[in-house]
Amino acid sequence: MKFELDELLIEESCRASALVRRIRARLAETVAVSYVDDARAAALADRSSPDSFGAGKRRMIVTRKRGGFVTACPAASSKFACCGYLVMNLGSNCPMDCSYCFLQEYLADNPGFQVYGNYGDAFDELERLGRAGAGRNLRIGTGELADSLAFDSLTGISLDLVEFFAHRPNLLLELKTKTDEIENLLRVDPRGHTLVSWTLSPAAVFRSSERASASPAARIAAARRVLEAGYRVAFHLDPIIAYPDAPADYAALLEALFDTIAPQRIAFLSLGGLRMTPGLRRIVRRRFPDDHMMVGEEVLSPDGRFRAFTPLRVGLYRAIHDQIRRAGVSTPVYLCMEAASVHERVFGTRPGSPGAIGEGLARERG
Amino acid sequence: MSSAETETAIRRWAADKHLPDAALARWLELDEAARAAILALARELRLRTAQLVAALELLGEIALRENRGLVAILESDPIRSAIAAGGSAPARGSRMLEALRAIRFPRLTRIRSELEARLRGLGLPPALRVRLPRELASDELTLELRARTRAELEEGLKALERIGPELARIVERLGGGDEI
Repeated sequence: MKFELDELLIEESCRASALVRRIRARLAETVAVSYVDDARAAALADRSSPDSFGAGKRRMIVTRKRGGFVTACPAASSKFACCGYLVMNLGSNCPMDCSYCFLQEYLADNPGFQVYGNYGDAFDELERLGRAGAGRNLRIGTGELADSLAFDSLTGISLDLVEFFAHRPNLLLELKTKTDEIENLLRVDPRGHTLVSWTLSPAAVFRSSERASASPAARIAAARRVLEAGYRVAFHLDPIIAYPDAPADYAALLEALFDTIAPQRIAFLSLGGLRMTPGLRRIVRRRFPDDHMMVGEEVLSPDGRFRAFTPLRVGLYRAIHDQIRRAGVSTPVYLCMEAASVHERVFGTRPGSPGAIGEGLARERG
Repeated sequence: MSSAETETAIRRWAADKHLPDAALARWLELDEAARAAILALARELRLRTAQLVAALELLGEIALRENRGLVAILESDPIRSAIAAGGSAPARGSRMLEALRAIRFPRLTRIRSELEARLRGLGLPPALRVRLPRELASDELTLELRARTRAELEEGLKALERIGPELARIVERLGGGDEI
């Protein structure tokens, strides 16, 4: 899968970076390239555009990250049973255009597709993190504000990341994607320290709501290939959309997944229901007025987000979890952005602390 | 009424009722038959501004969910029954919106109705109230026991003990305990 760009803007401070050299060597000749002293303004929304967020996706900006790279997951909250995930932001925005994507609101003012020329500085942070967390296993992902692999054929960042993590015994890299862009990964040995995860949706959701992403079958096939190349794999059923055929469609999706990848070889599965702040919901209605998946039975929940009403949402989680358990293995499953009471209803137990859950997910299963 | 006359009448209604621009734009984007049908409804039921905004939103969402035209939705049995039932125009307007919500949220309506029926079946004394979460948006059941005298308190506690098992089943149902 190759994504198209309209233009490439490079901040002068990144001109000599290895990242820029790689991108320029691989970029289609038709893409306009220009240099700017300070790229921050270029990342801002073009208010004259009828769809400034969509336009931002086609404008790649190589810039310098001015703050730290590694943070706690922005979705983490004391309201939820969280998974201890750490996020490493090496870019922001994504060339795919999913109806439900939270970035539409989160990056509304800065939609330019940014990649950071000084991403090598993140390795110093990771070294410190690894030392500070000695004796613990930490999972650090790059797929929160961007797809981890969408432009990897252009940037080649995954090669440096996998190589770095391969030699850090207590750090696990999670590359999260909806693409089948895995060719670079097949060239390096992760030594058990990189996990590639795919967000998976039934075909009906893919068709209605996940523009420019790889098909679910292509994602599963890509997962099989990286698994055979020595990577760990995991899957995020997130967002789970509670449309009328959802129980049967998610069952079919899991069946297809387990037919291709034995459940005991899956590091973990996460489940998360569709959730939209009122602001995101307004944006979704404006940008995708014809997506019928976005007009489900969502109601305003106590946490201020629209979610499928509780019996429907939790019932669907339980049905999916039951099916995973019926597959006969104890693949770890966790919920994303759900309260402890929902966790208890689905799994029958109170959730552990985020640190304990994160430790369990990062550790290799025996 | 010609198309231009309908548009003029809609704009006049919108100005009189201070209808937000976005809602007016949404109304005017509809096809001629749907625009006129909503105008007729707004007049007949003397809809308030917020009711019209809600109706436009619900109709648009139902049309998308069910791949149906707005006029067909307005002519469906539940909506016609709600409009045709007796009572004042505002009461009929409220019932029409309720009927639209029931079409828009069919499973929510079904489960909530079922739970409400179960709560009614408990025969609660006046001192004891049990409330479902609004729009079943959480899994939290609220119990309220009010007592001024020892006798009232004992009556409420006795009722609570009696209904405990059924309340437990309702809590389970709220948490997705039954088939979806």
